[in-house]
Amino acid sequence: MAGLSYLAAMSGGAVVNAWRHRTMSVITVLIVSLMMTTLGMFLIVESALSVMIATMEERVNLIIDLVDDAPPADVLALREELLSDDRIISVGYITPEEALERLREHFKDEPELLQPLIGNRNPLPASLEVRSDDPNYLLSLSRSLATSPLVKEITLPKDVLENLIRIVQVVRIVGYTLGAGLALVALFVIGSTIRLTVYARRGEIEVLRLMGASDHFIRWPFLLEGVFFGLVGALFSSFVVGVTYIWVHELLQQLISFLPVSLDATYLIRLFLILTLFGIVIGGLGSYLSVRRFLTI
Amino acid sequence: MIVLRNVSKVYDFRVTALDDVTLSVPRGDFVFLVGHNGAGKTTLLSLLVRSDQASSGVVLVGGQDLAMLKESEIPSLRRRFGIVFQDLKLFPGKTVAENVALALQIQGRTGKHARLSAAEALAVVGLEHRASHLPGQISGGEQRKAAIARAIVHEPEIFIADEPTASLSPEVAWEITSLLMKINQLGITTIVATHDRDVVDGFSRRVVALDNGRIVRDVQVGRFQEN
Repeated sequence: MAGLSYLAAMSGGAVVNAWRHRTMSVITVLIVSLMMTTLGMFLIVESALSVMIATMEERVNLIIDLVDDAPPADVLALREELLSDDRIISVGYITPEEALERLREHFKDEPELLQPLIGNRNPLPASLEVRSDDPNYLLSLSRSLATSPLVKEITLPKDVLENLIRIVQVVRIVGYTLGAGLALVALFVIGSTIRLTVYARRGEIEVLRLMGASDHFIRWPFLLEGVFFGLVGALFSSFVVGVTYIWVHELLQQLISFLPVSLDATYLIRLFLILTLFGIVIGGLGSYLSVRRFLTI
Repeated sequence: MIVLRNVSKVYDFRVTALDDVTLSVPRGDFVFLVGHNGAGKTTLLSLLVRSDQASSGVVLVGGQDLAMLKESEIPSLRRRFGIVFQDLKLFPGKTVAENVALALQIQGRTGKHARLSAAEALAVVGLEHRASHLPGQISGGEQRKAAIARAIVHEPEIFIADEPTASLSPEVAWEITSLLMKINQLGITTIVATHDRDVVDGFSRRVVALDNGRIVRDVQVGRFQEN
């Protein structure tokens, strides 16, 4: 209880100190917020892209168009063989009629585009639709099946997926590099502000020393002040990131409704917690380094 | 008990602030440390709280040799003292009550009991009505009282005051010194460095006179200057 009361008194002191040099405090908080907001945005973009990839990976199908005169027994045997591998989720048999039906459904708003292509006969072959959660396996499978006499053509929409994976990798590298750079900037800014505070209060520190204040008693308010800057910056950036996220989410849902871009509320709360924790750590570390260097007791 | 045995303090190898000082102050004693500016009064006080170290000799506080103190033990030594600084060193951004409570916070005492102790200390010096004022909003005499309240709130073993009556009118100086006597009557060893002749002559207490860093006189009931 006494410890809590002591900590409360210290925290109060830290906030009062921050208020005393409020212009510096506001600038510090704004810079920290800017850093955290940028980081938050990157985390959201990275996460949204990851979700998209995960969903697309699930949707990657290997389409094996069968030759017109493929014996049904051989097709069945091929299907059984494919299903025997654990990496295969399902193997669907699509008749030419079903394939045509799907195509019609896809072009239902513009049937005039489809009519010249199909005429009065069904040009579509029967096919096997192979689903797997491992795109790389599908790629090797497509290579091995290419020579099969049953196979007419193999389609694997992997390019899009590969490009997206590459984009996510780039976003991750850029994001984390920028995040680390911005974290260093925030550390420096908080450290400099604390250094100025230490300098401005050197007279008071001397008095506290003469009154018998321990190192902890003198250092804690400065450390808490740094934590306070980090915390306020994180809360501010959480608000900005949250509002932006909701806005972008609505926009994306309108633009690319066929892909899942939604991130649930749990994710958003987790992101806020990450930002808050990060802010506290950066604030505490920045002031700790500054106090250790500039506050000699 | 405070003991200084053959203590000298030399700054930069050439300025002698204290020269072979030997002094003993029993527990509960009251001492006026007198002398002109530069006589060595402030240096002597700074040795007691280990804000400075003797160049030679031994300084003992409560039997503890201050030269043997580790850096980490200095704060606890200082917490045994109540100090009124020459320039008071009140925190201008804190109210009188907060300034007083600060001495308790340093001792790790916060909360309701600490507030009560702070209020009591302000009552002792007669400054309850100024508790919520900032130091800049009260008179010079009241500022001295606030500094005294801050120095006694944690019930120190030793009270030291450096020129507590400087720049005060004779009436206020008398009032402040009476307050110091009151503190001493509580059993607190009290050392007052001053060059206020009227105060020293008026209270007839032990006088230790310094001149050029040397003790030139130590009398149990003395005056500022021997006739």
